[in-house]
This record gives sequence, structure tokens and C-alpha cells, in this order.
Amino acid sequence: MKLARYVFLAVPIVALGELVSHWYFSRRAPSNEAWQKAAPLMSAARHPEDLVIVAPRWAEPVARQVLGDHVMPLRDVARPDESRYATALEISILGQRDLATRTWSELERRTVGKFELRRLGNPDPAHVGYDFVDHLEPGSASVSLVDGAPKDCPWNAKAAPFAGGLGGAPAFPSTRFVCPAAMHLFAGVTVVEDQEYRPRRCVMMHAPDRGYVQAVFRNVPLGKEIRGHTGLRWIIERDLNGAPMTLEVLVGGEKLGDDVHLDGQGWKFWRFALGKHAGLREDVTFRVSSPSASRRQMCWEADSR
Amino acid sequence: MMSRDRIRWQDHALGFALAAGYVVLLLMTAKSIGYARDEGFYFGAAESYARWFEVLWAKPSEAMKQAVIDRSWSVNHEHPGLVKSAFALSWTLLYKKWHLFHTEGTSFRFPGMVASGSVLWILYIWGTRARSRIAGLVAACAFAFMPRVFYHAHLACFDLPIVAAWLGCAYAYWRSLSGGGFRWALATAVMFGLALDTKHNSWFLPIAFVGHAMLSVLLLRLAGVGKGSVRLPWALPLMAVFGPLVFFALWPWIWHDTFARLQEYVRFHTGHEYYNMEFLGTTYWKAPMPRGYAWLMTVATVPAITLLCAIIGLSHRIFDRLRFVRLPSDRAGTALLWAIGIGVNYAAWLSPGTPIFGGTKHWMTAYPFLALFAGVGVDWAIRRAKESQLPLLSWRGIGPAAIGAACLAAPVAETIHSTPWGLSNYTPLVGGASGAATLGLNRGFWGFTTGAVLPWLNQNAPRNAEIHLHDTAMQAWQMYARDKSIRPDLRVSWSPADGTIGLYHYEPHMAGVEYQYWIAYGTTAPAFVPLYDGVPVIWLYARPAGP
Repeated sequence: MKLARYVFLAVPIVALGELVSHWYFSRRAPSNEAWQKAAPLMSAARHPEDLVIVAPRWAEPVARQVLGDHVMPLRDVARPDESRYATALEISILGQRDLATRTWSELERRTVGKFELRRLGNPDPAHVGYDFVDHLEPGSASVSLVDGAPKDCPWNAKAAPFAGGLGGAPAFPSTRFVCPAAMHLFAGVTVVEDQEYRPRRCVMMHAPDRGYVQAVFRNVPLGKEIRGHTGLRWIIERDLNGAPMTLEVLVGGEKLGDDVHLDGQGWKFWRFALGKHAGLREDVTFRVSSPSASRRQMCWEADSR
Repeated sequence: MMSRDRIRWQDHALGFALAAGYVVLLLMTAKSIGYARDEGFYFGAAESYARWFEVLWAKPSEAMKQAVIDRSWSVNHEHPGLVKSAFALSWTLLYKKWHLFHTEGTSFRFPGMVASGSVLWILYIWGTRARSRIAGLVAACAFAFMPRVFYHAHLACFDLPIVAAWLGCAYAYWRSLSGGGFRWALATAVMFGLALDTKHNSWFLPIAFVGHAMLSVLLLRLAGVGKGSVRLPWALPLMAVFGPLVFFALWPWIWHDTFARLQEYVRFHTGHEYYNMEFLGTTYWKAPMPRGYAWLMTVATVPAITLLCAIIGLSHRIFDRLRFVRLPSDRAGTALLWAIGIGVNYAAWLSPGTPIFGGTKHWMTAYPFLALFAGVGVDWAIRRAKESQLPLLSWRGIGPAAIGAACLAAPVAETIHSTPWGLSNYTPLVGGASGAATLGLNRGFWGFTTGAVLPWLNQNAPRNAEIHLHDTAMQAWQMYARDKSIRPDLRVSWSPADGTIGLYHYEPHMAGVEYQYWIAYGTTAPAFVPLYDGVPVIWLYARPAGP
């Protein structure tokens, strides 16, 4: 009972505890100055082929600001997944860890102020022989709109920029294969958000009203399989009211497989074994079509490994 | 619950000082808080209504014609007109005519600030009447220094005005039950009308009061008293008569085609579309919404000490009630009314069908009652300290001051620290802003954080730069221009693909806009990322200079 007389002390104790906690938490994460100061050391810690990842992910924008495109290029930031990377540099704050690389082994660890820099090794990195997104350019690929007779979609290095904003189309890149049809019919490299709103770099080929759009990559050094992902902007896909979209993959004119993407599937993984084509050099064709073209902004990525 | 302290004129002087001091604090910090998306729409509506008031002043009969009314009042008619009328009159009189404000935006915001100040006055008086001066003072301060309340108190929106109207109506109702008689019952009815004309949260007032009346009777009967003496509080029938009359009288939009327009108004709010809201790492954009949203967001955004004291205050009253099952001295059922004030305002969020797009502001009408209980909790702690005979804490004067100051220190520190980021602020209970970001709690909405990057834009944007505003409403941007907060040469770009500089207000469902900048500008590296406690909330992309 005597103790009960002092229960009221919980009030000032909690009050002062909250004040101290506020002071602690408001200074816990690194400031702009801390990021700027640590940036040269982060850049130096990165090996040339390292993927740079930031944990927690919400801190990534400031990492991109201080490290720049040469350390965190679009290709890495909007990667399809982590499987192709042999090593990564994890920039960690607040004791957080990146979930995608949690099975990777730690090669090095270093603490720089409030940052922990860890070099990580992928236990099973894939060797990508050919990335189709990287090769969507006139020297390697051609694009056509096929509805009866094929219509060539010539390369335009100064195409009109466009972006649909919050609920519209992804950005149309200023360098793209432009079809002789509506503005949205082209093949170009853009970025869409997946079902977790993460960036995914991919080739946008909007399905046409009739027929299909196809991209042909010439003389591709083939590995054992072609694998990739299909998707479209999640903010459009999540409404679940679009028609199916089909991505058909042909090797040497022969159909290898197709992926039918249904709304709600998000950034969807697919893979086709190359079988008899494995190890050869052949033309590879990607065709996009849909029975109803409204908002069918197919975006795909693929590689041969 | 009855106070030993009688209300004197000095109490109203202190209540007024609290209100005035708060308004001054809001005015001092207003410039740093950017214009929210909805404010932009209300600026436009208020200007439209101001034109009608000018007609009313010059040709009253002309102003009554439907065509004239509709021309002005059709703008933003999904919300009633009282608060926007106050914005309009403040802008017309205090800015345009009397030049009391330097900026137009502040003149629009001023009525909301005054409403916020009035909440403190009512809380002080109510807390003092019901419990003690300490309880009243702590209640007023606890409410004032809730970071989210402080943010919303700056805005030309309806959220603090409806808090003031709801609380004012509940206070008048309480006075009508505590010997205030017909005068306060009539005041309740008028306040109800004003609340109806402020925002639709007012629809819950009759539910709260009828519930209170019924539960009061039930509790009295359980206590073995009051048999055969059930009386309908006068305020209730008066509310039914005068509430709609006041509502009708002050909203010209419903003077013609009344029923059709009222139907449209009700339908808009009962069938409100869902917006996006991030909660624990998931973006909710359609039903079912998470049932824990309101509770967790309250815990994450209201200072923990305020919550603890409110729990003490509430449980202390329940304990008293259980211990003394006899005729209570408090026939007005004060604690019950306060508890209902909390319960009714949270009740909507028990349904997974209720949209959660507006964050904490939607149940902010419950916070004054939370603050009143917090005042009772602190009062309890101070009384126990006196009885404890501990050095310092039991000393007259020093003990109450020390405990009171301790209870307000963290709320004050958190609130001051929340400016100008407002909605990005979280309490230490979830690890502050960085802890909340890791948990996946919303970092802000409405595009108001543009205000925090204006100095950078003014200093770094190239001459005649075109800015893509992302989530900032065009009308809000125009107000920056009218306030001369932005360089006059800066232009607006309508697409992320165009322009020189792109703003990005972080919300997961808007990520696609950021990625559009990457492609359009050819870089993933933002030009500027201001951090709030280490957390990016808004960042900017700049198109690299051409060769």
C-alpha cells in the first residue's frame, strides 16, 4: 500500500522519458551533412561491379543524391531483381538490413559515422550474356507494328517527351522506336512501379488495337534460357479491369513461349528454356498484343543467361 | 465531477490569453508551413463567396436571386459555407480593406487559427469548471501541443473549425445540464447549427447527446436513484428545430433546390471515394480499410504523456464511479460526456468501409476530450504528489509546477520540432519520423511540403524555370506567388516530362511520378533532398543543363 502512494511518479517519469526519447530519435538518423561527409567514403568502398543498396529503402533518395548516377545508375536502381549481381555494397543506417540480400554472405564491414557499409557476396550469381533492355537501339534491334503488312517503327533520337503523371502512362523516353500510328505505339526503355511501388526498368510496348507490336533483336548470343518479367504501372494494373496482355517470345522465327499477363499479377517473372537454341546466335523476337488495347501499356524486361 | 474552483473573470482573461497566445504562435509559424492541396481549393471558393458578399452589401435583393447565388456558391459546394465565408470575410476585410496582414494566404488562414485558439479557451474553462484550474490549463496546453493539431491549426481548412464547433456545442450542452437552463440549451442548438454549417462531423453530435442522455438515465437507475424522473434534456428538441434553421440560413447554396442539393451533399460524404493511404507498409486505396488505423495513428502521433494522463484521467473517473455506487454529485455526467465525445468520434473508424485518406484529422474532434481527461490525469498526479510528502513534489507551488511542466515539456518540444513538416512528425513511441518511415507510416499528403523547398527553388532554379508541382494544387502555388514567396519568373509545368525542375512529394502510390522524372530528366539523382530527422519527405529533380 505504501508503494501505491508513489504510483503518481509514473507521470513525471514517463513525461521526462518521452522528452529524452524525442531528443534521441530526432537525431538518430544521419543528417544531410552526415550523408555529404560520408559520400566519398561510400564511393571509395564500392567496387566497380557492386550493386549499391540502401537499408532502409526510404533513405535511398538521399543516397542517390550524394552518390550520383555513376554510383547508382538507373540500370541498378530500377533492376529487375538482384540475381545477376555477384556483389553488393549495402549502405545501412539505424541497424537496418536489406531483405533481398539477406542470404548473401558478408565480405567486408566498415562503420563510417552513423553508416555501416557492408560488401555482400551473392552465393549464386547468374551470368547474364545478353540483356535485351540494354540492346533496344538501332544497331541491335528493329521494331514494327504488325496488322496485316508490317509497318516499320523507325528509331527517333529526338522523340517528343511525354509522361502521364499520377494515373497515366509511364514516361515515353525521348529516344525510342516510334510506330506510324498513335503516339503511344512505340518501343522504348522506361520505368514502371511494381506492386510494391518499386522501380522496374523495362521496354514499354503498348498493345495496339489490332495485331501486335514486335521488337526483333538480331544475332543474340543465347545462353540456356531467356527469362524476364512483364508488368505495367501498378496504379493502373491494380484496378483489375484491363484485358490480358500477351508477350510472345520467338527464337529464330520459332515460338519459344508466351507470357499472358493478367491485371493484378504485378511484376511477373517468367522463363523459357532455350533447348536446341542454347549456345547459338539467333534473332529473338518479342511480340505484344491484347484483345483490348485500352491502357495495355505492357512493359517487359528479359535477358539470356 | 465538479470543480472546487469557481469561474471568475480572471479565468476568462486567462482563457483569452491562451487563445490569443496560440493565435500569435500560429501566425509566427504560418509562413514556414506550405499551402496544402485542399487550402488551394478553399482559397478559390472563399474568393468566389467574397464576390457574393460584395453583391449582398451593394444590392441585397440582387444577391438573393438564384442565378447570383449559384454563380458564387456552386464552387466547392460539397462542403457547407460557414468557414469559407469566414475565410472570405477575413480576406476582404483584414487583408484587402484594412491591410492587417502582409500576405493574402495568412488572411485566409486566420479564421482557422482563431477557431483553434477558441478551443483552448473552452478547454480551460470546461476543465476548470469540471475539475480544477490545473486540469483546465493542462487540457488547453495538451491540446495545443499535439503536433498534428498544431499543423492543422495553421490551415485554411475546416478541421480545426469543426473541432471548435463540436467542442463548443458539447460544452453548451453540458452547461445546459449543469444548471444552465434554457439559455444554454438554446446556445447548444445554435452551436449545433454552426457545426452543421462547418463540416459533416457535426452529424455525430445528436448521436453523442442522445447516447449521453440515455446512458445517464441508465447509470442513475443502476445507482438506485432517479426512478420516475426521466427528463428529456431541453437542448435536444431545440437542436432539432434550430440546428437546421441556422444551417439553412448560413449556407446560401441550399436556399434554392434545397432538398436536391442537400441530398447531393449527403451523398457526397456517405459515398466518398477512397484515396490512397500508406499504413504499416501497405497502401490502402479501397475497402476494407484496416480497423487498427485510427488507434495506431493516435498512439503514433499524440504525445505519449498526453495519452497516459488521459488514460489516468478516464480510469480514475471510472474507478470513482465503481467505488461509490450512489447518487453522483455530477448530474451532468461530465466524464460520461467526455468519454462519449471520444467514442463517437472514433466510432466511424471501427468500420472497414470508412475511408482513411485524411489521416488523423478525421477524428481530431475527439482530441479535446482526450485533452480534458489528460488534464484530470495531471490534476490527479499533482494531488497525489501533495499527499506523498516527498520533498519538492509535495511542496505547494513547486510540485504542481514541476509535474505540470514535465507533462508539457515533451509535447511542446515535439510540436515545435514538427514545424514545418507537420504530417511527417511522429512521436518517440514509434521511433519518431525515422521509426515511422521504417514502419511504413504515411509521411505526408496534400503537397504542402513544397513550402519547405521554396528557399531552395528561389535560390537555385534557373531563370524562367518551369516547375512541375506534382501534388501541390495549382491554386496553392498561385498563393505562393501572390504572397511573393516565390520568384516571379518561375513558371508551372503541367507534365513531369516537361519543365526544368520536378517536385516529388513522397507517397508510395505516387512513385510512378518520380520514375517519370528519371526518364524525362535522364537522372535518378535528386538535386535536393531536405531531410526531416533524417527522413526524405519531398525531393526535387533538376533537368541537367544542355550541352
